[in-house]
Amino acid sequence: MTAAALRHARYVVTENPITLVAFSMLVTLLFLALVGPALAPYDPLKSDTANTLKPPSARHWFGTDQLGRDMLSRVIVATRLDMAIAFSSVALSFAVGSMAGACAGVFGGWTERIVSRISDTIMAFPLFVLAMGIVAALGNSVFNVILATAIINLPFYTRMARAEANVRREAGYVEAARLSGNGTLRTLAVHIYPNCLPPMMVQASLNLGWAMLNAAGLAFIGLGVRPPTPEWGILVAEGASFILSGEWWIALFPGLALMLAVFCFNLMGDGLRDLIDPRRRT
Amino acid sequence: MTVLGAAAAPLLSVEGLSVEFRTRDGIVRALDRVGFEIRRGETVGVVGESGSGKSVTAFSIMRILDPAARITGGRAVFDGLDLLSATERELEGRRGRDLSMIFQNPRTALNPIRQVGRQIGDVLVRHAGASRGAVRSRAVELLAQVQIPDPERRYWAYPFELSGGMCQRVMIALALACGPSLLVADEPTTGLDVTTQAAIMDLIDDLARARRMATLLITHDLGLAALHCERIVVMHAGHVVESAPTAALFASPRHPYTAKLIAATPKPGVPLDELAAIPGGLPDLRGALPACRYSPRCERYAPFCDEPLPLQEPASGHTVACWKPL
Amino acid sequence: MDTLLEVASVSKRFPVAVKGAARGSEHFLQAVDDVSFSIGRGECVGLVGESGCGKSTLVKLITRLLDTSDGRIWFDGQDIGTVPADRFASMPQRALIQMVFQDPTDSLNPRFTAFDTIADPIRRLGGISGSRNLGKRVDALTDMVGLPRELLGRYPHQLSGGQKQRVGIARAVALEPRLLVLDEPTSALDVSVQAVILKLLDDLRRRLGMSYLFVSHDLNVVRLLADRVLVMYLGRIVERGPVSEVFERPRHPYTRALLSCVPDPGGGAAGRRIRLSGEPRSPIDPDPRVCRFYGRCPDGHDRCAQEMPLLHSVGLDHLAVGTAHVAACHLA
Repeated sequence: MTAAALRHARYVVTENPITLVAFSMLVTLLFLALVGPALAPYDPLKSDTANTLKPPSARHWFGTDQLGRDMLSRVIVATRLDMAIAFSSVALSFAVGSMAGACAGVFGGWTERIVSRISDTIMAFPLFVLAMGIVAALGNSVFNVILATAIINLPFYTRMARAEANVRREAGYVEAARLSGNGTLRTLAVHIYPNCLPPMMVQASLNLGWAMLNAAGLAFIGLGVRPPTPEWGILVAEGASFILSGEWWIALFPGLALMLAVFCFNLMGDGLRDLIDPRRRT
Repeated sequence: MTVLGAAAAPLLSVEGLSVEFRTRDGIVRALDRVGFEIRRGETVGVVGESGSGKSVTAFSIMRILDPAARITGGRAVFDGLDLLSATERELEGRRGRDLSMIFQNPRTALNPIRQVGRQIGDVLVRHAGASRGAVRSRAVELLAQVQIPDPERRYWAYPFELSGGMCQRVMIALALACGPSLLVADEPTTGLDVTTQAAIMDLIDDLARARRMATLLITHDLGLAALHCERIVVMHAGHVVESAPTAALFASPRHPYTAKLIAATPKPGVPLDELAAIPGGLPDLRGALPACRYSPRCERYAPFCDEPLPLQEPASGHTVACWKPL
Repeated sequence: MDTLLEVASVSKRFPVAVKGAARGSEHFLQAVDDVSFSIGRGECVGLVGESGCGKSTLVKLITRLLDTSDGRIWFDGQDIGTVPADRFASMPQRALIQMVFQDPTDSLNPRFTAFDTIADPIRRLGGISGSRNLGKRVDALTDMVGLPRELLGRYPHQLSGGQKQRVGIARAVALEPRLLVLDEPTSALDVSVQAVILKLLDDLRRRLGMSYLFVSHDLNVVRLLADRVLVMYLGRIVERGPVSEVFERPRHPYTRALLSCVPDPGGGAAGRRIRLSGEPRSPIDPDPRVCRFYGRCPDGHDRCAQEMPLLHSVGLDHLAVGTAHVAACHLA
């Protein structure tokens, strides 16, 4: 990872305007996640009963909700939670899934059978329903949402890792590693596994969007994160009941934020793929 | 080896072919004023190492270059039509019918999910206007001509069921289905066993002789070119450095690179310490290049070598691009 | 002659599924069949044969990446065939048997720098402690193979084919092995670079006193380096002997056909080329009584289909037993 890699990264980001847009959005989102709460003009939890259901104005750019809370602040502060959930669950899923898949691909036999059957079982369920079930069973907490999202995304990683490991098992440098005295486990950990990761990075970034939608969806139906914690799904849920009465801004802005974040992750996926494997560019 | 009158017009005449590739690191000048001729029924070999531009030359003639490539100059006149400036319609009328190509890796050049007999049939329907009924028997006939045993049954085989040598035979059948007058063979036997290689090359030779078909054989294997080609064109870094009848090329190579190439190829009777190596590597085709792209590696380099290259003809039919030929 | 490697009646079978076979029946692909030969100290033995002849499998058996189905392998007097392949990494012989691979790109870990690649065996088995000593050893190896030291920090995709192959060679000789298996080391390289690498290999062999098993499909290259040569066909050795003997007076019809198909880069007239018809026999469940070459052989006899020919002496009798010229053909 040297000057050449950075140059390539800069090339990829600047060459395609869409990647540039996605990248800037990602930077904005991360920024908001990190320092958002400090930037929010109002306390997201503080109600102001005098100013309920006010439409967007100079004082409240995104309007206020039924308790007089400033929507802009709520949306900004929710960024942190949503991003945290998305990244943590994907990280967890990626770590566990890739390792299990790589072991399955290299060892075969019972390891592969067990990992495959577990993946198949998970995939047999409609994934959102499975997530609902897990959260309902384990209880409403952010951790359980992360866990549930991680579980339902496991099969994607195990399958990819297994396929990649299977291919690389026969590679010359793996044989060379064994000739150099690397035991099976060491060969897997040092030689095979790191080389399986790049193609999976793309999957991971696409997954971020799904993870976020998953968490928002769970919150929307009342599982996982509970109000008054600001989270985009909850905000949309709260705003949904007000759309018919004309207060469109309560649901729209969090929904937009959610949409833009997912959109950004999906575009990042393309950019990441270009970054990692330039030969596969479309 | 046929002998043709000197007055016979060439079937394919390439002159001044220059090709560039646009890449993220700059423009790669892959070919620079490449030129050669092929007459009817002749077998010409284009020999060079990796990066010499021989495959790019073949792809340019067939107009199947990568989208990042641009033909910046030259003509390739095939039977009256300049292939480089022809429209897609004009090309479609010729490609597959009057001139065709076989590729290096036979298994990947065939459609993996379509039976081989059907693939031959596709070519016949597309270019020879054959009716569906006649197609099958004609395809089986072609499979037999390329010496595939049990052609009736093999018609239904998929590429993965066939060995490398057999796949290459199928590709030859595909290429020859419509009786082209020129066959471009891009490293057709690389990766095949030596006995299979001999059989495939013999097959190409026999078919070419029977149909009076010209062959452009692209290879890095000097020995193979020596055996099967009447004339050899030697390429280095996008330039044609020498072009001569085979016997003359080996008996008295005029370009230092050709001589080195011959000396570097292992042959019986020559011990290891007499094997030559060519110092340096291929020049970077992106930056500023000297007039003679071999000069950085050449022992005979002299300051006047930086002048634009001449094309000398020390003997009839023997051209060399060098200021100080051997 | 002092024997370093002794291979006795080694076979390797792989179970395969056969389309349309009876249920419960077992079928095996006979990749290596009853192969015996030896390699002496400091000797370079060539192994030639075409695809499907079993030389890759034989190489994996000798380097202990794979276990044999039958037969014994002795290295320096020790039986190394009994230790399973996945536990061989901890044996003392592991460092003494190494390999140079065919494809320089495939044989280097894309995420390792050249330094890491060369240092890996030393770290695992070299017993050198301290990064300074390690660095010195890697530098010494880099110089020995003629690689400029500044390339050590590069990744494989930043190196040329010849440079990558040098890294592979440095890695292979890092532990000063006694037996080095060279699996087509120059076939992926341009002819201009080939000579340099071959000379390097020849030089290293003398300097480090190694024995080579040089596997190649290019007979002209084998001729340059090898003292003796083994010719394999469909898992069996069909001819064996001093390289000049075998190449000038081949006794097995397959060797003769092979030699006749090799193009002469001197531009000489094409000799009488022996054309082999048909495809090789199937290596699955081969009939042990039928010569593997029967059917394609231009000189077949009835006896060839009834009795498997064994290696017998066909050369001059005064040659020592290990280096005799032998061929497995009833007509030789």
